[in-house]
Amino acid sequence: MKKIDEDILKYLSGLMNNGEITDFDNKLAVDSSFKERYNQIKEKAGEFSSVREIELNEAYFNNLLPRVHEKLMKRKKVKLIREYALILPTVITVLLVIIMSILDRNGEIDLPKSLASEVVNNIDDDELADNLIKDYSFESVLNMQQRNGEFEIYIPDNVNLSLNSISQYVDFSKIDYSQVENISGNELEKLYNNLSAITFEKVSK
Amino acid sequence: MMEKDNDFELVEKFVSGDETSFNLLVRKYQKRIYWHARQMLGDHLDADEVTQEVLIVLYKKLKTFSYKSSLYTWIYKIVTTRSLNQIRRKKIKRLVTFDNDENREFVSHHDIINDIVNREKIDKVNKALEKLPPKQRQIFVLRNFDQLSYEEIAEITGKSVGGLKANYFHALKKVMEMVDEKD
Repeated sequence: MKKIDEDILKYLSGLMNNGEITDFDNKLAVDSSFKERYNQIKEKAGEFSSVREIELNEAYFNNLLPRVHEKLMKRKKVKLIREYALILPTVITVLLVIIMSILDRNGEIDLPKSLASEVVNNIDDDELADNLIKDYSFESVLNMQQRNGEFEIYIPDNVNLSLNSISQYVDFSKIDYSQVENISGNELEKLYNNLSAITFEKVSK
Repeated sequence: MMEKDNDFELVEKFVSGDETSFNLLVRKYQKRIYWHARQMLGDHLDADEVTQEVLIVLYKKLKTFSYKSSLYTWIYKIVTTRSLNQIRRKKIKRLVTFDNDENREFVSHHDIINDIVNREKIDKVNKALEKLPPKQRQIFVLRNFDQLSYEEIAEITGKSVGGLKANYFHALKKVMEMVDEKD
């Protein structure tokens, strides 16, 4: 590109400083060939901006707004579906949690038994016997009578004896504790609580 | 100034629930939006897509319009950014699909310029603009077609006025050289 054309483009772009603009304007006023070239370039540049005057199909613009509204409605629907898509898993999770908690509650029936057997397995016989005798009347366990040449102790109903009071008569290591397995859930829970209290006392000491 | 005041009034009405104000704003700016997108993207289908997207953005974001600038510079900001994104998207698409303008014929059938002479005229302009880098094209379009001042373009693009002048000069130079070559 010629220097003269570049100067014209600089002028049209607003890249010239005040001094350059004055020089350019002076040259434009006195130099006819320069002015002719300036007009040519300006006209060409103007051709580009004249594109805006081209008529467009008005039907397109009349139809634009309804199309936009339609798209907006569609997006609202999609958004709504997405929100529901989030709600559904939440509802399922809540339901699962409720079901699990109900199942857990049913499982609680067996809990004292399993806890009791756990404690019974981990406690020494003396402690276990002490608690059995304190709170339960185990006639069958402590039925000590003279039978077949052996000495047996009979403890009447509703009489609770402490371990100390009968330990002189009974060898507790020989007692059959298998009946513990047959006692009811409530009894086991009570037993477990007693044994836990003993363990707690021991630990706190 | 009247235009600005009127715009703000329409925005306020729309924000307070008057849907017809939005329709009035659309009717006022839809052609400017379309033309800018059209010059940036070169064909009707892309321009239509961007125009619709811009109007949807307007509908959703008008509530956040802060009145710091005029509404039309805010709209230009949206349309020019969307157009640049569309150019990038198309470039990536072309790279991935090895698409070589096979859909040009399809596009011309869907054009909203019915007159053949005018269509040829605009095709000539588009071919010249296609050769410009997107950012230079953006400034050229804003200055030459949308006839905005450098200050307004600076507000839209976030660039300095000096930088914009230099960019416009280079764009104009390239376009003139291409026109000269064809002549």
